[in-house]
Amino acid sequence: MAFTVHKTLTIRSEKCTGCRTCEAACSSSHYGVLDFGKSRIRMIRNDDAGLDVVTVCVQCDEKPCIEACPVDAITANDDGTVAISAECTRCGRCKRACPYSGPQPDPKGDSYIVCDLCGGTPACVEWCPFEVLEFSDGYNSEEDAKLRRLVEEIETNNKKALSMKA
Amino acid sequence: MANIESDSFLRGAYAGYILDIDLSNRAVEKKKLNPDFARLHIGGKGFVARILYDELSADVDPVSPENLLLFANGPLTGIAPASGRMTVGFRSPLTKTHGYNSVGGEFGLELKSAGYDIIIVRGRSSTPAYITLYDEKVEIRDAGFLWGMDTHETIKAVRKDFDRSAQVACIGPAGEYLVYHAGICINPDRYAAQGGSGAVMGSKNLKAIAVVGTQEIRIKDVQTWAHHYRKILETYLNDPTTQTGRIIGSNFLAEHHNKKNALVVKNLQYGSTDISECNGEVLNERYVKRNRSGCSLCPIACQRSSYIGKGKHAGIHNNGPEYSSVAHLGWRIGIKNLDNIIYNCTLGDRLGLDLENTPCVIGFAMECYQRKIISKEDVDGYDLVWGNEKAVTELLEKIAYRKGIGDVFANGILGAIDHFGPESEPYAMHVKGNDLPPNEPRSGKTYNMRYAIAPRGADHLQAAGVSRSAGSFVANIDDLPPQESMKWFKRLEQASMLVNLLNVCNWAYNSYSSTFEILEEKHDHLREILNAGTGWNLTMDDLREAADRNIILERAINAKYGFTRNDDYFPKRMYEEPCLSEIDDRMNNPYTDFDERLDWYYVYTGVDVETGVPLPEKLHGLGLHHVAEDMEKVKGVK
Repeated sequence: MAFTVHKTLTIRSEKCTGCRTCEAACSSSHYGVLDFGKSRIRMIRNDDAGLDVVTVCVQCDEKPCIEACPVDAITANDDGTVAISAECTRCGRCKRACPYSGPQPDPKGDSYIVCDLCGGTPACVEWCPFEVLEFSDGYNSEEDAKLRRLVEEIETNNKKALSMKA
Repeated sequence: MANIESDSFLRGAYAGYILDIDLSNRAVEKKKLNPDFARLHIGGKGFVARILYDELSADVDPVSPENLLLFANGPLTGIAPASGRMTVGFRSPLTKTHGYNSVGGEFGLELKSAGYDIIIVRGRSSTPAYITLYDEKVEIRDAGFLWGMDTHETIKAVRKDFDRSAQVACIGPAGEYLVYHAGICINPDRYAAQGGSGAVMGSKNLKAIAVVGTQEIRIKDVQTWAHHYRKILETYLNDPTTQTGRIIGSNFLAEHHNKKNALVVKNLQYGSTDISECNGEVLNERYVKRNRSGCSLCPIACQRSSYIGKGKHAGIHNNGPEYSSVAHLGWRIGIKNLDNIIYNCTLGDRLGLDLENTPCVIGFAMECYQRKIISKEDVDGYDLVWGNEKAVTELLEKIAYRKGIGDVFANGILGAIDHFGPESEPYAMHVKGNDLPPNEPRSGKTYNMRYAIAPRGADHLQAAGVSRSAGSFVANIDDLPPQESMKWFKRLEQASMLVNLLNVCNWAYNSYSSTFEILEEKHDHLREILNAGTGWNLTMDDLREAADRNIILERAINAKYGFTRNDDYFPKRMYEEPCLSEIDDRMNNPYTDFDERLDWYYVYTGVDVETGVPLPEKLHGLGLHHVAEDMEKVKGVK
């Protein structure tokens, strides 16, 4: 059986301060200019709630964007990314179908643009000063240990609660 | 007249265009930025100074249509880390001096993305108006529906009316009522304040400017740019002082200044007090809901969002407060209740008030009340004892709407002195009509010369040096003889001017540096970024010369307006009394060698020691020939 394993982008929004360094990295490495509208990763700020959230394609398995495209302009790549061809009519259905708002309209061009992982070394991950972005195969020893501790804690608490009931 | 426009075009780093808007006849003109002009004045504070010098007459009324309101970016706005800054320029209604503000947020970046380096607003609209920019598309819209709204409401309403993603600069009621210490609010809770920029905007019947930019910012050499950009990020992460800014924010200064006996307690009567209930840690612990948030491209993100969870003011949310708001709304007027401080801060933000000058006038009145110079009847029946929270909250509103005694306070501290009479003057803690910032002058004799010599009155940003938390740097220069220490002072002043020309954050590049070496390293990276962006080949000496040019130009503006050496002095208290502590027996001695320090400052700057007017030969040397000719005349009069 043949199958592919690929790394994905992970976003830890709780660490994000909304500095937009990722956007600067993305647009400069793709186009050689600073153009935040052409960035494939976006920071969304909510002043009232005091929230900064990053949206980008996270190379999901389901790829609802492909299904949503009425002209079949989107195809899957081996590394988990998708490619949007010149067939794109900018209808925006892919963006609406994507739970992560991955595809973004190119403000000057004719099509939508989406993260291509910079061919394997994403500039945004390298530049982010707060380690909000992570490019890995999903396993992070530190974060994983944290999670395991949390699970253990919950389990012991549950046990305690159960024994008290008994 | 400055040759600010030309046919040749600047590509890279600069957006390359100036937008000239005349509200009187609703004319909009787009001009190309002259590369030679840009090379001479770099950006931000430099652009503002040169345009105001050339265009304003010596007797221009600050709240008349003849005054200009400028919004200027620097070359590094939007292309360097921590570069979410913009400079606002005008003649100040509060001090009548040259007026300038530097403000953070995302407005500067958006303006550059829209394709402009400078917006010049002149004239006065006959009816309330607001300006919208969507790249090249500029409109002057009716603002009747916005007039009277507070700043937060205005921002929301403008975004609804124009564009959801717009960055908005607006005034609140205080600006509409021409309060001399009204500021310009940029996105909720960020302010271009000090000197009354809000009143200038209000006098033009201009409620807001909203910008959406979708254009690219060109960089000549992207690889070099990227290398130095990332080097600066690295420097930030490795510098422990920068980490302090990240972890605690500006409020770490409260404890720090308290230790140095440098707080401004009760209108500068004391230098330290018990702040265990209102220091940075308490603020972070009890009120900060979210860790941090920053201006565009800033990896330090010193801003905190605080939230009052319970009590009378439950539900109040503020993107702050920063140290100076806490100091002025707090111990300067005897208040130590953080609930009240945060509430007043939010109220002031919404009303469009500058929270540095406004509480200071109230503090001045409180000291006059303490010394029985004024009575209840003089201040609308308020019992102005220290820490009267209710009175302060009500006075903020009265000032913003110029009601009752608020009408007097709205004219700034000089207006209040006029009203209370000459016996009140010794208690007015100001220089040139601008109130002293929350770092007691007597605690650092060299460093705090900045308050005396700054063109816009007592200004802590004239020479913001290496943060004191780093060690004893400032104490060291105080030990030097005045001649030597003022040499250091000049270097700090140059460094501050430089970041304001490039329009990057003073804190990130100066104050949050552990040592002077780190500061210089960061400045060198900035120079590389500037060269990579523009294709220029500037050396550090060129940049220092540009800083000197603009420092002396700002003085020349003031000299033109009639300011002399006599205006560069502290209130008498600084020379006559030591600064005591409210809780123990610490004290800082008064200034004894002030005149000597001032002399040396003038000598190093190229200013006439007798009059304080810039020397023509120095101005010629810096390429400001027409300024030199004007100064000959000014000098002749004195």
